[in-house]
Amino acid sequence: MEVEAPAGPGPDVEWAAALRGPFQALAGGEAAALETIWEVASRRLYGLALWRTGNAEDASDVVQEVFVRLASRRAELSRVTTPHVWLLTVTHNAAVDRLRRRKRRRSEPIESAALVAAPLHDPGSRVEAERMSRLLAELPEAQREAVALRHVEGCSYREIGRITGVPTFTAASRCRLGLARLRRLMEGLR
Amino acid sequence: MNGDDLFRGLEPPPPPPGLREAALRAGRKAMVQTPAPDVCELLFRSGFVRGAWALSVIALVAAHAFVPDRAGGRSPAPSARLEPEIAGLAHAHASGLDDPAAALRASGLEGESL
Repeated sequence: MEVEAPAGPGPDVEWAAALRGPFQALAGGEAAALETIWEVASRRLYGLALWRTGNAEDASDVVQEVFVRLASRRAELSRVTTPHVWLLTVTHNAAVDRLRRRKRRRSEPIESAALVAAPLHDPGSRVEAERMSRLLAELPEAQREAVALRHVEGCSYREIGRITGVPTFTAASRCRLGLARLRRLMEGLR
Repeated sequence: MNGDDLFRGLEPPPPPPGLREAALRAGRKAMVQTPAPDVCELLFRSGFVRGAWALSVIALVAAHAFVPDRAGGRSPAPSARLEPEIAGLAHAHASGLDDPAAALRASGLEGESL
């Protein structure tokens, strides 16, 4: 079962509809559905994990953990009505677990990962992507994640609240504060 | 400039090479290690089955409470369903009358040709 991967994240959640079939198939025990879910969602899940952890190695571990949880909790997938929210929630939880373990394990600063990239068809915006990655790295994790979910994944504030386990108002507040801080950082560079 | 404008033309970086195989391998391994739920577990988790069970309990309770009780709470006596002569014999037996003649007298059939 092949599903074309979305061209890139945007302010829509059409990928959510593309996940319903694979979720049902996986609930029915079809291991091949994991590949379809990878094609549809991997970039977004890796992006969210990267934005939350700020570290490529941790983000990779988080994505692997998400696929393990997908397989081991497949019995509940048939009842999931919003697969994209389910996946993003599991990614968020796995990333938070990973961050907690990392903070206990080591205290040295993490590498500065590329949090955004230029599209392949537009290499001219690579410099802009590198600049934005540096600025995003300065945001608190929770604000950075809220901004990513809102403006990269296209989630509503209510969905962000469900994914991150906070009230809708808090989700909107984190997003607003993150954007305001990002703008101040951008003005400081000019 | 809103948030969407800030990220226009940018996207999350692609997953690193090798992550696809590692994630899918981990997922398949987890599928093998986690057995599929059996029928009882599926029924227990099914909202439809739970609803049907709750409805049937409610229907039973309602029937017990509201359906008229014509027999006064007792099942009809066996003798009421029997032929008269057999009912008499049953009555005589219940009264401790083992003598057939006494049983016939009790049943009111004495003198009749059987």
